[in-house]
Amino acid sequence: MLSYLLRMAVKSLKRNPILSALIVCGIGLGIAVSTTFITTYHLMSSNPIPHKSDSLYYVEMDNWDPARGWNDDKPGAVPNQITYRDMIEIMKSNIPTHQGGSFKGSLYVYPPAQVARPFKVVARMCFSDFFALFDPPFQYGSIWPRSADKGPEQVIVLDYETNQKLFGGQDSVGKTVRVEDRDFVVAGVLKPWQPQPKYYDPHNGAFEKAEQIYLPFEFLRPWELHSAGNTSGWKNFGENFKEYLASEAVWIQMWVQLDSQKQKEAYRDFLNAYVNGQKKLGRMLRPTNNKLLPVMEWLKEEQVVPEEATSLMLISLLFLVVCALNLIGILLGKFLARAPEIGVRRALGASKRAIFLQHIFECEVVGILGGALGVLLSLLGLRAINTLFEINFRFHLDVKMVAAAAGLALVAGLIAGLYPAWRICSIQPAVYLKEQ
Amino acid sequence: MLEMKKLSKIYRTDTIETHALSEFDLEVKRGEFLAIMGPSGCGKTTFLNVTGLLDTFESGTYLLDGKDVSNLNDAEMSRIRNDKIGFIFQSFNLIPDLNVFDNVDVPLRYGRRSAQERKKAIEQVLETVGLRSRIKHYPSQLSGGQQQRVAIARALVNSPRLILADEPTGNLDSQMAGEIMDLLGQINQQGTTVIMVTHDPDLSARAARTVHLRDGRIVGLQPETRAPLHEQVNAPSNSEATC
Amino acid sequence: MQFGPIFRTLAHNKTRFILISIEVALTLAIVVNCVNMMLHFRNQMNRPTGIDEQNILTVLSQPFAPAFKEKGYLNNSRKADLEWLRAMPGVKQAEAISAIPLSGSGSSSGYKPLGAKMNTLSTGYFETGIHVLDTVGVRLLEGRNFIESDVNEAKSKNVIITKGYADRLFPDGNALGKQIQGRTAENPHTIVGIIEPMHGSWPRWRFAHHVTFIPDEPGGFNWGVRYLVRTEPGQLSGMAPKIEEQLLKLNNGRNIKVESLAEIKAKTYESNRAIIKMLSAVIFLLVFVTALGIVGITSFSVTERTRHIGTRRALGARRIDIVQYFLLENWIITSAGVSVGIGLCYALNYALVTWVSGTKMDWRLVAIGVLMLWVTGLLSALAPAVRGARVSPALATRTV
Repeated sequence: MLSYLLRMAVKSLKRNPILSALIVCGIGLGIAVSTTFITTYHLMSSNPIPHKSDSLYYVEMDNWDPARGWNDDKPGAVPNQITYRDMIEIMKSNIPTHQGGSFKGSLYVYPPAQVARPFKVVARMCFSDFFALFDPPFQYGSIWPRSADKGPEQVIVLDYETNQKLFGGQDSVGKTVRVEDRDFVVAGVLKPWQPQPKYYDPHNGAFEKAEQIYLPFEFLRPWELHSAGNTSGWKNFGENFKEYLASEAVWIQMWVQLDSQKQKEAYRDFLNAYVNGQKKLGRMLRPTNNKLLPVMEWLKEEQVVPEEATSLMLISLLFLVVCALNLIGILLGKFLARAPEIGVRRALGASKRAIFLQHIFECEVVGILGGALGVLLSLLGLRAINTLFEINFRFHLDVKMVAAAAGLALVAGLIAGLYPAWRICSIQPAVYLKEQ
Repeated sequence: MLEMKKLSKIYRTDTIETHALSEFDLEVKRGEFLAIMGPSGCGKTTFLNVTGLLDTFESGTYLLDGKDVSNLNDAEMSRIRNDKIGFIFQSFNLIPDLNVFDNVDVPLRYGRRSAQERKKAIEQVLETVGLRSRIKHYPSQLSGGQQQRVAIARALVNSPRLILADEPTGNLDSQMAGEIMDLLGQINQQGTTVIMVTHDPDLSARAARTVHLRDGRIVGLQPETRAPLHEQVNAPSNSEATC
Repeated sequence: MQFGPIFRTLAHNKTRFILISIEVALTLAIVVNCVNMMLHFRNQMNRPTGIDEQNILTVLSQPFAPAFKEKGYLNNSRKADLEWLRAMPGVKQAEAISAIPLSGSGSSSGYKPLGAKMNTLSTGYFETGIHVLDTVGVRLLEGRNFIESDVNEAKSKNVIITKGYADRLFPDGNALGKQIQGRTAENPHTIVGIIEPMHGSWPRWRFAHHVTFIPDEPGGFNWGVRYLVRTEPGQLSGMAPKIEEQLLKLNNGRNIKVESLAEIKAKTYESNRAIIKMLSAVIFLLVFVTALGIVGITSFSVTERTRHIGTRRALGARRIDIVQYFLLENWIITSAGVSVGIGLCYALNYALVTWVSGTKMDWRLVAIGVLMLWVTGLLSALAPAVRGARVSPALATRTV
């Protein structure tokens, strides 16, 4: 029966190829536009680390001005980064499975003079645990040992591109790279890695490129390195670097991995105890408001998805509705024009149900063709959007989005088909059998 | 085969009510060849639609093949049309996109037969109407007479008990009309009941019995004058029906 | 005209016509809201910045030679650079500045009138030399420009602020000469000049027009040194490579990057332009789809009524009458859709403003949308209507 229905549907589409092309293009455009904008929204709001997004927590504490909160417009809000002094203290806890603060720095890399002039890179100053927390894939070597954090030892992890640039993509583990005024031994090289969104540091560009080199955090002291990202303060930053590190300036993103509820509760207690201790020292005088935000909640709080992406998605769905309305109108005309044939089929024993199914089936064939066209067109649409932005975020279709497009196409075909199919199956066959 | 008692069918629009059939009584025996005559608008078509279960009626009873069909739902009526009734129309009503084979296949598709059975049935019935060689042709490639023969094949393919023909030769010249009438005669002789609506007295003359309709009523029912046709050797050449 | 018969025909075939009307209504609502969004982003991008942006080059000197860690060395290098830049033919003025206006990167702070009991008011600020006003191209409204000695005053610095910021700090309009402080009363600033409105580092920030210039010697080893170079009108092109070459000649222990301010602004507004393009595409496709729908429906309605047209023709209707009939019918459908659509426009706008983001809509935009849909409707209906008018009067008598 299915093959018969398919054959009938194809015959019906072939009967008026131009009209059929219009119908398929119409629904295809609707699917393309909505898939394109759903994909952009989906990718911007997607979970960047699904396998452990529930055990990674972003740490926030309120060290702000007792007289005036972090955000005048949001009473409960606390600073979205932490101070150096607090990071050092809370990292003394042995509760989290992995933990560590990190920040973005801007540093010079000095290749051998014959290779290139010194060039600026964006570095992530971090601890060994950074790699354990966020799982970037390694091409060569591995993370540096925890012991290297202390010294700090002159070890470095390169991203894929920097290794291409400096070593032509070869296994550079054990070789040295000069950064600022000292030589670092390569511990590992990453495969191409671009978390989207860049969830471990979204407020310095949620869709910015990942860092080019990774260095032990404590090199900030010899270099007196300031963050290349946002630094906020409510008091003086101090006269010199030492005072700066001891100040209330916030510029570090602190993450912990807590694998169990118990661990989480223990860590929460630890943070509360720490903040209460600080209050005794005359710091953190605002009401205690420590936050442990799992990845997705954190991204939501940071409003990573631009509002325009949401608006465009809504508009694209309305666009699909218009396409479906269009389809209803055209199918209605097409089907009713076929009433004499359906009259004959009814006379020859086709039940209403059989006629209804035949037409719904035809609509779904249109939906599937339109969906396929829509997916192809949305590839073009996404490519066009990629050329509009110079940022490193690249939109692409994934399996989920193709499935969503297929689902939308089937639902659009069904919804658009219901009314016309019902109308054609409930015609009075007798009217169409007699010669007009 | 068919028994109608006090059957009424009314068409209503917002403003007018038309009695298409009123208190209509008719009995047709199995194997009969009945002609229905009357002027335009007398209710012939309504009669055919009601008889063929294409249309419902307001009151009265209708027994088809001994079964009361007045309260059937759409699926049941469709089943009966498919199984027991074959339609032949004035304008043939072949589906232009389908070739001869597929056109004849249409009623089979709404039954439950295997592909092989269907193929056999189609070939056989096309043999009967003499169009076996045209199986791949499309309606537009056939003459009017050939088209009507395909339509007859389509009506016959499910071996119906009852054939309803609505001016079957109305669109044909007299030679082709003669061929089609001969074919209907043959079918009738093989035991299928045939009811034919026409306004052509020459055609009704071919039927064993003729009924005249006017304003939805039978105006002069000729009492049954002869045995069902299939017991006769020859098709009748004259009619005893009167007005 | 033949409104009567048209209305009766429409009433008879209502479903299809209702469908098209809804489609027209939705199209109007979507198109008008998209255009509204586009205008918002375009206007934001095209707002006057108060800066002579077309004639300014930006220079980033990013030192790597360790000698630059020495404050004196860095200062001397800056002096030499500026001297050369100012002497360059075609250059009006050049100045060092801590961050590039409109670039999306910079510093902000908060001040309030000295001793006032209130929250500080945010402002973007630039540490810069004394020729900054001429370099940016912004005029002094009140007070004086910076003088050499302003740079050297250790803590209590004289500042120049924008009018917008001055009016927020001192609503009475007497900001000139007043002192302002940060969170604490240490190191207050004195307002010595008030300038025309201009945008700071983040033009989309709601306090973009709050700008404070603090005289200083900007730049450092890690952050680099930035210059703004204002050229005589039309002299900017071709200057960038020369500047790069010459500055490297002056000191090779650094990388030099020269970009026009217009390019930097364009990057900052990249997403505006991208959204405008996406919205244009959506509008174009939507109008296209709706036009297709109208063509389709009118075609059906012509085909269905071939005989009816034939009869009319036989009864004496001219071709133009038939075309007119279908156009009028189409106009009635579009108008029905449009009247519903006006309501939908405002509903969608309200929804977007309330739940997502957006700006209120100008009624003139709606009016333009209505006109556009009328025209689209009539143009789409024209071809099928003309085809309908070709029906021969003889068709009336022929059986189909």
